[in-house]
Amino acid sequence: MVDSALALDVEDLSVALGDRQILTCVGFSVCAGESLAIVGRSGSGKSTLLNCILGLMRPDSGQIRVGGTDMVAASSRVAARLRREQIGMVFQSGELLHELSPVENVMVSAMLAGRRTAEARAAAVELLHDLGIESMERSVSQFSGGERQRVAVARALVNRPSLLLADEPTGSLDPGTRDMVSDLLFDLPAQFGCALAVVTHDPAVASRADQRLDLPDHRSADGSAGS
Amino acid sequence: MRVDRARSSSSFFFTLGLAMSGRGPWARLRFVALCAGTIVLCLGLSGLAGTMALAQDRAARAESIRPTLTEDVDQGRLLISFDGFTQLDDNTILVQSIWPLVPDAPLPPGVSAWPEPGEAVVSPSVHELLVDSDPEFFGPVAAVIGPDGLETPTERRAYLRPAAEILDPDRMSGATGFGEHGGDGWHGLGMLNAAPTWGVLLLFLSATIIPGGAAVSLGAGLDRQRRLTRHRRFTVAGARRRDTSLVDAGEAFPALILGAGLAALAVGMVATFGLRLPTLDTVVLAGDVRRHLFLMAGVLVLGFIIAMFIVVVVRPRMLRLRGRRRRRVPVMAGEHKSPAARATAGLLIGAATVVLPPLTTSGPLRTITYALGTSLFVLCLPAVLAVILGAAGDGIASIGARAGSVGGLLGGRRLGAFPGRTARLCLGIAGTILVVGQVQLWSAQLGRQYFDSVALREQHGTSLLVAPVGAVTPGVETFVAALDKSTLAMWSWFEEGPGGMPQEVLGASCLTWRALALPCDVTALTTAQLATGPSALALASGGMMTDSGVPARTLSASTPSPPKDADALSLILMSLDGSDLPERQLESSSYRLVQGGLRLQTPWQSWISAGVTTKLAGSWAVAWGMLGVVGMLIATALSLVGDVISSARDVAPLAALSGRWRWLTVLSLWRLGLPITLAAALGAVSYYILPSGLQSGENVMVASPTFVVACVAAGAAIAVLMTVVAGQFLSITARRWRPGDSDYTTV
Repeated sequence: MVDSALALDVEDLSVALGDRQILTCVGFSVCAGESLAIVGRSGSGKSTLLNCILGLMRPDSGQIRVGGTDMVAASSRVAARLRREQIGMVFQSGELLHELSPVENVMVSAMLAGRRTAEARAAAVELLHDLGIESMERSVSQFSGGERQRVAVARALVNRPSLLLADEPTGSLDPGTRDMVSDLLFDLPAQFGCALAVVTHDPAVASRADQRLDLPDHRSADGSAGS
Repeated sequence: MRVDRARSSSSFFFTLGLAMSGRGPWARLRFVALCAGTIVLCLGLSGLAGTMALAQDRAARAESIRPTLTEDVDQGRLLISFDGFTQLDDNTILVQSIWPLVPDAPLPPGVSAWPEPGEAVVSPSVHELLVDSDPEFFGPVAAVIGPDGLETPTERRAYLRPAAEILDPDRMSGATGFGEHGGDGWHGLGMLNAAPTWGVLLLFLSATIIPGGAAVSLGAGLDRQRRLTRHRRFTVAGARRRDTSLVDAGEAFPALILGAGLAALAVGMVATFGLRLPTLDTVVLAGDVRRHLFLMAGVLVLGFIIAMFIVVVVRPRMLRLRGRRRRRVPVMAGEHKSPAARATAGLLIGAATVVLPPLTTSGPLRTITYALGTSLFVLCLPAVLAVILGAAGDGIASIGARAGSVGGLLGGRRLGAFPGRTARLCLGIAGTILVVGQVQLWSAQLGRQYFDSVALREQHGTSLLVAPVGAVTPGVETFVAALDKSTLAMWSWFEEGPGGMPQEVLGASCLTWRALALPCDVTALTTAQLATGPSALALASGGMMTDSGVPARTLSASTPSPPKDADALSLILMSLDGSDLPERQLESSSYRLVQGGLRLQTPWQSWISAGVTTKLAGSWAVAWGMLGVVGMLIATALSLVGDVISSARDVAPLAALSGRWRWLTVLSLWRLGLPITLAAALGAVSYYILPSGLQSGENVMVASPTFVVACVAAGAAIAVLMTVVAGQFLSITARRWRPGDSDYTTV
């Protein structure tokens, strides 16, 4: 029985790279409207976990369900469709395309998901407006770090995903901007009805989440993750 | 010990460079660019050295072929006469008559045995022409002249041994042999049509050597930033400039040695199998090349050394100078202004270059206007390209956004955002095409007479034929008497006119004048008087009369021959109704009746044949120039691929997360495929259009459509290839992308 509000469900996930065990029996779930902080030291497997959730890496064992669909068993085509339609992603430095305007940056994501240009533009404008971006035709290279992250968030949300992943979204920001971006991110589940999983080093950011997943450092000692 | 340490450190740095040569995608691009540049450079140098060496051989052979003439009757061992140049299908053939005076009379070089009376010995090129048309044009061909007897392998030369009954020793010179004391007779077409040394040097320099060197320099500049950082690190670690140069040398060594090796392979193939280029009327004999193998090997090594010098010394110095200039020179106000003003100026200059020359009647002024206009246009070309690429980028982005094409949107924006650097790279392509095109244009300049002659041939065909005649021999009289009734015969010669000045005179029988609707006692022919029928029009067009009138003489009806002492006598044949005369058949029959035959040609044929030779020179420029253009295209395209690669990191997450890859190739198409094709097209079109103002006047520059098509086709082909390469690279990079990876651009 799959809970329709369950945006992400991970069960007994284990990944080893060669002789090194990266993740061991990791399990957690996030429902729509909830947030989760994934915390761990460098090398604890945070990026590996993200890769598995995105369907870019196959785990050795365990299950991952995104919006009810089994990501581990999915073909690469189905995984790509899931990424386009169900998952949005925010990166540490935004990963925006500097030649494009904010609207175009957001539109591109919608266009790649197969939406019509006019529809993509309208959605982009609306989202940017909702997120407080006013100068929509200015180059993003002229934007501040906080503004860029807001554009990145808009890009991640434009396809109305059920799951929003954020990989160190405040890692390159000053404290003031970090708080502002954190406010923005942790408001999103309530505002857009999606689940949020944030990978972070920052305890202040992690403390804002509804749940917290601590990944143990496998280089020092083996251990299991828990929520 | 000190020396050993230095040697070991040298080998360490060189080996380090060697190890770095194959790492990463940049290394592969750099490898291909350096290799392509070195091939072009080495082939250009080999071509130059080979052409110079073969020209020396040609000169030496030409001297050995020249007859050694003597006026001493007792010393003469053979008789020889220079009978002039005839034409077959616009190909010029040197015709000479020979007759042995003694049993062991020396044979012309390349001829193994005396032909029988009435037979001919011809060069292979003439033999090919005769086989296709009239095998017994000169009479039966007894043998083919060997390569020793020809100034160039494709020289067209014929030795005729007249039949005994038409032998006219008075019209031949005595000779003791060939090539003795350098010979004092005439040269053949190999020498007469030989390009001047400066022309050959200019051709190879501008068409291959400089573009090849530029391509090597472009290749060496790829991945500049990473290598600068590496140099800094080495320097911080205590390395000297010599050490970093050794790293550079080691890194470039495999590409340069492969480039030089491939060029050597090409030279080796020519040295083994020879080279036949019928469209360029060129045959290079393998043996001729083998005679200069050491020279060619030396030149290939020199090419390798020059390429290495560019990589190790020239390019780093250019980068240092550029860096210093950037630090010292403050940004000038307006430097970042739109290049639209300069582009507009460029287009106006281009228009002026086309429009102004026809407005002046002075030949030198027209040429100066064209040369100045073209030079200024080239200076404005970067701005023109920047504006075109910027506008194209904006247009593509706009269309891409509307059409829902992410590749179009991003490719267009990127094209619009970087037109400066892209324009500079594209300038390399367009500039090379324009420069090579200039070599072709200047080397293939045709006189107005050529075009007039072609038009006259179109108009009159072979209805009028003229042959210089040394003397009216019985053979000539027989030839004229045997002419068809519809063929009119006239004579032209020079007489002393008023004031002792020589004047041309036309003579014909009363029957001929009447056929032309003239009275028998006509004393002068004017254009107006004769411009009534087709034959008269042909006479007028052939310059046989003037508006003021040419004196006319009526010749005796029984023997309509000019005076015995007539000077510069020519026989003129006309068809009464303007139809074509059987030129080849008439000339062929003359060889049976007249010693050395009659070279019956239209009055305009010599201009056409000269034009064919000039056009061949232009074709040579195009052939070698294409090598340089392709080298530059590859190096520039690879630089642009490098630009695309450097942006792979930006687009990889989008592609990986969406699972869509095709748009990456579309992005590459607009980002590099379009600029390359546009640059090639702009260069080719400018080359074609700019000299169109010189289509009238005394000297006409004729652009080669083949060169235009070849440049655009090569540009498009390389653009497509590089688009696929860059698209593949972006796709592979995107597929390897993972969140949190710091470096995933190594494929």
